[in-house]
Amino acid sequence: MSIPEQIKFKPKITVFHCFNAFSDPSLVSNGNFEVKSVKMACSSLTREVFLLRAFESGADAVVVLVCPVGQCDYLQGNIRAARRVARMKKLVDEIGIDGKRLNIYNVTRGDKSAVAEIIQKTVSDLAVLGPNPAA
Amino acid sequence: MPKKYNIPTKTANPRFPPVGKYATVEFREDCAGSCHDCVKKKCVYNIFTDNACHWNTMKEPEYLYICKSCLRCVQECTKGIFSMSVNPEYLTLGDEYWTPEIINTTWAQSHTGKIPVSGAGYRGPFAGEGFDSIWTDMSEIVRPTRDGIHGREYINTSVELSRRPMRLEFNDDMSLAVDLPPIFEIPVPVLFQKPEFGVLSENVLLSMVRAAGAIGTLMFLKPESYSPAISEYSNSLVPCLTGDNYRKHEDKVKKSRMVELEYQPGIEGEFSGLRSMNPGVVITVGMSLDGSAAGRALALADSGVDTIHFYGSVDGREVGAEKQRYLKEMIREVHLKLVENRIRDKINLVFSGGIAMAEHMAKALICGADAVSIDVPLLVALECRLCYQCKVKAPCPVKLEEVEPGWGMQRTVNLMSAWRNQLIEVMGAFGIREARRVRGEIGRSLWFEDLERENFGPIFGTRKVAGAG
Repeated sequence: MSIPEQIKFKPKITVFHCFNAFSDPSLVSNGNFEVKSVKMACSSLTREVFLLRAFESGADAVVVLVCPVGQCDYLQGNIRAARRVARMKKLVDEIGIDGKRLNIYNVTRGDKSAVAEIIQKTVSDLAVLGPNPAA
Repeated sequence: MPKKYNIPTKTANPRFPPVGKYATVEFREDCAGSCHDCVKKKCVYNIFTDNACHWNTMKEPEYLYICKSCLRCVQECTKGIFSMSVNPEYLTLGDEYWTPEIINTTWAQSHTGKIPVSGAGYRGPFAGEGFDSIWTDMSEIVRPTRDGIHGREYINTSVELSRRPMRLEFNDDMSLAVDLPPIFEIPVPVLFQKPEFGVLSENVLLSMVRAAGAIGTLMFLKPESYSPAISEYSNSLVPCLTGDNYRKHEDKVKKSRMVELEYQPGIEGEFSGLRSMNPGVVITVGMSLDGSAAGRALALADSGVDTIHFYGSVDGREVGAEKQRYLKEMIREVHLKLVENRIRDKINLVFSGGIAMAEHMAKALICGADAVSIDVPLLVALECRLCYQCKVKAPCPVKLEEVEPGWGMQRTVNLMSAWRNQLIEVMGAFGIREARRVRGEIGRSLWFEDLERENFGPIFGTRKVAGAG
């Protein structure tokens, strides 16, 4: 996975993911960026406080990976996660960190290439956003 | 009254978050928030507090490795915000024989030293293949205050590994006319042996050897695996030698209480040589558990051997056959061959390969073994995930090479304590107070094949396809 030239720092990305949506131990950091993966039994366990704590502990971006709509084992887990992330984006904007650093994506079960694309996109976005000002 | 044998346990926490089975999913938006009767506070295993601690440090939760799935939280929440989930990673553990359930319960026993419990009930089949087709007859469960691990009466789990004379002979003055061989017994019917695969560093082997010493059993080990640190525990080691090389390892023979010689035709001719080096040594002959094992055992039984050690396959089967029989059938064959020839009491039989759980130990005894020898469970006790990465020289996910021997010893001791407690519970339910009396006590078991034949045979005829399916 490449990294845009204009990035002058090593991005740290925290990925919260439902273990049904994605569970691949190969999702590890390379020399150019660092990925911290937090596995959950369902994306509905994404709690607001933990998203904030990720930023507090130095993440430049936080990504939440959930099952596609209609495919959650608990029917509404992904919908609830999306609502929470939407709420938190506003809050993150308000406190000056920039809501664009927090994103949620639907991932089809076992689709590794989609996850790689999401990480790549997040790294590219960070080239514009820069490092986490709260870190 | 002699002091009761007891295996002391001490909690030995895992070094890495174990892969747990159950996870709790909660929909927080639906929480009443004011019922003051939150089931999270009532969890007897403190699952929710522990997992919140993990979340707070941004670590993966334990996936409720300690959750016994009693479903109290799911049932008692007034708003029904909880659901249970099974961790998909859990389902990928091990293989067809060493199932996730075996691995997970072995971890729990090594961690706590307690008998594993499960609260979600059992939804699987009630009979399987191999040992799973044997049910133990627990009809003597009468008084928990008298029997079992909390009972006041002692249940003896020790077994002998030394040979016995078939009869005593006396001189005219009533003195003994026969030499009695020394009696050698171990307090649990389990021995250890070095696994065939895995990260088998010195620390890993040292953990196993020290645990063997702590509980008073022995570990089979080839001389090339000896190191100066391991040699200090020679008293707990059984060097696995051959008829050709045992003279080169005289120092090991002299320091050991038991020595194993690999089977080869005419191996009995070497026993006198071994006994001249160490007169009190217990001799065992190791041989593969194949189709001719029973015949070889019979031929050896009268040769002065103390114990015969049969090596089965890692999945508990006969070795070297196209259609491999299960360990239970092989044990029965060898045991009954010796019984039919009226020489069974003279020697002892140890079986290894595929002994994965405490119940396998009890069932092996029922089938006719005197003791069993284990290998893979010793690795699992040290957190091995049976991912088999070590077979392709890939790094171990739980860094077994860094195991601290003291910690490893305690994990293994805990596992053996839990196994022994389960054996005591089963023996209490049998109404048998001596592990030696369980040997070949087939009347204390129910076999699926027999029950099926007796009950359904008259209606449906004989089974066309083998197995329990």
